[in-house]
Amino acid sequence: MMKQDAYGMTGALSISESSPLRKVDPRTKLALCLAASLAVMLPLQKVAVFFVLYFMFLAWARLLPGALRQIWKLKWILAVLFVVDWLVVSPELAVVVTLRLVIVAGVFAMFFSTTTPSELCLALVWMRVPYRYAFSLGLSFQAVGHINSEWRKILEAQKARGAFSAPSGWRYPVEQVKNLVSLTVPAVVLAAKRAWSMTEAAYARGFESPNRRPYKALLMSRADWFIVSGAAFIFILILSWRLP
Amino acid sequence: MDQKKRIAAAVVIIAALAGAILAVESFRRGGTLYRTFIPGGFSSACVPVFMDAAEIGRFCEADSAKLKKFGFTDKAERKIQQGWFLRDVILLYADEKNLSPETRVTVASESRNKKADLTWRDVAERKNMIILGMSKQGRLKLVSIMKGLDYREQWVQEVDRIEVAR
Amino acid sequence: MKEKYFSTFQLFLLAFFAALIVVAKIALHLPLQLSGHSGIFWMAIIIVSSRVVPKPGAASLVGLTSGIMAAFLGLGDLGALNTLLSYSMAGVGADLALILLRDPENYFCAALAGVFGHMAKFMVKWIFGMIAGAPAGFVALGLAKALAGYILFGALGGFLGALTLRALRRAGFFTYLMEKK
Repeated sequence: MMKQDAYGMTGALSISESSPLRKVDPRTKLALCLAASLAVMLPLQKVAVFFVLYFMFLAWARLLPGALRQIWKLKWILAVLFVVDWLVVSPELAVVVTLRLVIVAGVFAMFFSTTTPSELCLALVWMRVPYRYAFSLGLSFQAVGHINSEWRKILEAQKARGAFSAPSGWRYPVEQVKNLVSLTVPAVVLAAKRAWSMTEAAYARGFESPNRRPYKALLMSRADWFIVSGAAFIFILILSWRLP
Repeated sequence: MDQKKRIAAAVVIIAALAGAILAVESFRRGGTLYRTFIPGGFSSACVPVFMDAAEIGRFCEADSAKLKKFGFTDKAERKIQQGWFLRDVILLYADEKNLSPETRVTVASESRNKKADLTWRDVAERKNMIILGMSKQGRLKLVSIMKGLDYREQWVQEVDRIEVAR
Repeated sequence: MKEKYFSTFQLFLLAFFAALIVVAKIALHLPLQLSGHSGIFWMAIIIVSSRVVPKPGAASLVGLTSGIMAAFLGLGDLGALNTLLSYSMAGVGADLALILLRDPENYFCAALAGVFGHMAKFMVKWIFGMIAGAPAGFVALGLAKALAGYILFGALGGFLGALTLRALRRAGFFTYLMEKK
């Protein structure tokens, strides 16, 4: 029932430290990603130009391997869509759909592979998201590793007690779902216990204090302004380009 | 509202949502619903077909029933363009032996002050998909995927005259 | 001092539930080769969260938080934006359904709320497909079959949520929670 080799994946935040975008302000990266995600609306010629520019940018940012990995995950969907669209509609549509899906799939990876959760929290606070909510988001990230190990303990304990002996396969969905209760109940209880410990620790450190000041503040550098204005210029250029 | 009514309402909403998704998708791909609700015929007056300035016929809704419909998805708006091959329409009134590859075929709209000049070679080639499609208002429009006639701006809406000049 | 909508404990609890969804998404694989089957566990957690923190918006917050986390961890096939929106909408869908259905401990209500949440996720994927302009492809992949899968696993997820809530009630979990407000 469980995929044993998948356990190690939790908590594996892969931040690309070597990327020049790593030092860029998260707000700049967020703006870039939002602008890039709008590119899917462009017609074929423009989307093709954007695609080339986008991949050149990823190569400069040393994020191409990560983006290619993301695209590789989509290989079967892309292949089926390409062939079907080519046969049923037209080669132009097949190309434009493929380009758009590749852009959609990869565009926010640029943000998430160069930004830490705490930087995201700072950006959220800047966007007027209450600090408590931003903090709880950071807390979730920190909890992933812990919950993963708890999950494994629960699983092994329940297996030792003889759980998961229901017939497997799609013919027995209700039996399988009932089996899962032995996982969900302890997981929920442990999450609640952990949340209470965190609440007590947070109160002890003055979490709700109105005089709280952030340890680190975001600051837009010259590089940020350069990237934002460059991206805006290219975007306007593509939009104003008149197709023959 | 008691619990049973709430559950019933939720089931209805889910069914409506699922139905809406399937209906929209069916319309988008020109499926059964599209064919049921989008009128197959055209409501406007018949379109005269001329050969060397002499009227040889009028293409009317009844004539369209004799022809098979074809379609393609236009690349700009990804809408399905469906209708009758211009070739088939002309051959309803003209003998193919009288048409050479260089015969000029003009499809015009006086109301739009637009026309498309074509050769019989282009029109006869089914790959070009030179089609007399139907607008939402039930008027004929000339659409195609042939290079030079593959953009909406180049299509002829509200077709009111077809001319064949040998 | 103005009372906060979610207490600190509730906020942290929801954050842990969100983490639980992400861990389950990675670690749990049911032997069902049908689209949407992974939704069973996390629709259950979303339903549980809406009862453990009985305020409108609790499920949405769990969905949004797990969506951001899943996007960071590179989960999902169609990219980070799709992952973020589909997880978030699953929470919003369940939340909206529970405004109507109210009682997540009732098997039917929970199953239907699960269906709503899972369908909201499906709709995000479908709309993404439309924006990308993949009509024929979607048809080829069997939209109706995929939709049926999402409805079935959403319902099973909701059912699991209700089973879990009942088991938690029997175990005295809600009495424990009353002391922790």
